[in-house]
Amino acid sequence: MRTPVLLLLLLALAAAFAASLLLPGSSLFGLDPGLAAAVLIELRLPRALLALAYGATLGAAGAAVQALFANPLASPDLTGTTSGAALGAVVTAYLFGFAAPLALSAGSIAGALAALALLLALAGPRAETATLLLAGLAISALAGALTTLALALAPSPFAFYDAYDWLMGSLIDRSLDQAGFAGLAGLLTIALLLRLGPALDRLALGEEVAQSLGDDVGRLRLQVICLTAFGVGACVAICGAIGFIGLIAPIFARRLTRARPGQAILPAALIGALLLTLADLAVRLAPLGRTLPIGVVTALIGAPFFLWLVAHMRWRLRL
Amino acid sequence: MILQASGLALPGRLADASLAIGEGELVGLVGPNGSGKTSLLHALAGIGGASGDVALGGVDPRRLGPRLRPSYLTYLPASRDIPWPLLARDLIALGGGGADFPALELGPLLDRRVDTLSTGERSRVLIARALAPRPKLLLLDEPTANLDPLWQIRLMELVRAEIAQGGRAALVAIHDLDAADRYADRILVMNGGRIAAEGLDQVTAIFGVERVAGRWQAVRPPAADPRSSR
Repeated sequence: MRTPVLLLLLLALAAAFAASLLLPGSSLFGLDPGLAAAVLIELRLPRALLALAYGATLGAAGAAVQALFANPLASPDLTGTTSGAALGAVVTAYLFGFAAPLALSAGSIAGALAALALLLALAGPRAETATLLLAGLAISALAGALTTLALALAPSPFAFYDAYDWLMGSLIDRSLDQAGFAGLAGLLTIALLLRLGPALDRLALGEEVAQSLGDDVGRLRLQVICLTAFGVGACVAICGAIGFIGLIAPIFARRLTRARPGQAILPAALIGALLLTLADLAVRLAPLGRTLPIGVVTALIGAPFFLWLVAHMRWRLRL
Repeated sequence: MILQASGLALPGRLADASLAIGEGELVGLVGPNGSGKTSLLHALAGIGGASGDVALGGVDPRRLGPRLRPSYLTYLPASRDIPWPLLARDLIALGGGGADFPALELGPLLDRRVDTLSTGERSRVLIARALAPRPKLLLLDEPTANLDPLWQIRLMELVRAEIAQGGRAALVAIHDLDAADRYADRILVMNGGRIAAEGLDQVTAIFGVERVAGRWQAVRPPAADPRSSR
């Protein structure tokens, strides 16, 4: 892995974080200092921290899932993890309300785990791209349908509106506590995934060889699945579903650093954080009159990228 | 004896296989398809949870983690597929790294991705991965498959030269009976999940082939697999 690339990424990330705190300056520097501090700490800091935490978690989780399935098109959203987490959270929210972060997280982590376990059962551990995507699509569709059903059965119009608003994915109006919760969960997930990096690298030699080298592949698979479900579930519980970062960040990370699949976890986390912070800045600075949900923006940018990727792979493999 | 293994069993695959290999020995493992050659290599390499006892240089290698295991044993699977497009250099390093082998002429291949190599080139890279940590025991499944005749000879001579350094041995599963005869110090013949014979004297009973005027010919249906006669 190349240290200069990592340093450059860190620098870019610091710049984006600072920009996300300070821009637009007009609503900060003209104000009374107390009010400006309040805007900074109560509004902008949680939002910037959430972009960092969620983006980094998605990037690291995407890199780990891609390494686990030995497939560059695996990612938490394409494999149904995010939709499973969203379903778990919506169901929990009806029971406990959206203001109970712990219950909500537990529900969304359970949903994410269920989706990943179902994927593994359907597609198998070394799934071909087509099988993986089809199984992921089926799981996403099922979770999506059940989420819609849950929305249709909403206990009240307010519950419906809350759930719908949250589902679109947003970093706005979250408290510093919520940001801290997502940040801690994300940090823990990334730290533990980094420890699995060398074993994930060896898995790239094939499952049998990894076992002959002394790795317990079954346990590794379980660890990656539980960790990504935990990290993604915790972030989805706070901010709703945000797509495509988990797919794109690891691909960029491996391109930039020529890293092996397990080594790509750290650069993928940095790139994920950078991408989501930039997407949030774009949302905020776009002269549209109203704020777009960030989940819509990442999907608008990510989906064409995904299409390009599929077409590129098709050309390369000459299918 | 550098390796002593006894009572290796895996339901439906291995039935109480026992073997011992001496220092510096290259032992050939032959047997009909499905006779348990790969399962025996797996059992020794700690793949797939077979029961039984293994002692390699006095240690059970299956208890060793990734840090120590490659200096005790390495395993080359028969499949040359690599699930991830690693660089050849990274692939060798991930196997535990270590020595380079000028005889394998890997120089121009090291900075290429393994999915862009020809099958024969990829085989050489994978063999280098297995040899590089200089393990006490090399477990090689069909190492000469996909190699042209010159590379087959070079490879087997390299394996011989490697295990001639003290404290090392190799167990090589191979279908080609002539190659087994030529390179192995000893040949174990597997049948029905156990080691049925040593040496090529009984190959006619087990394989149903016989050497007639220097060429292998089919003589009659091979003996039934004892597992299917139940």
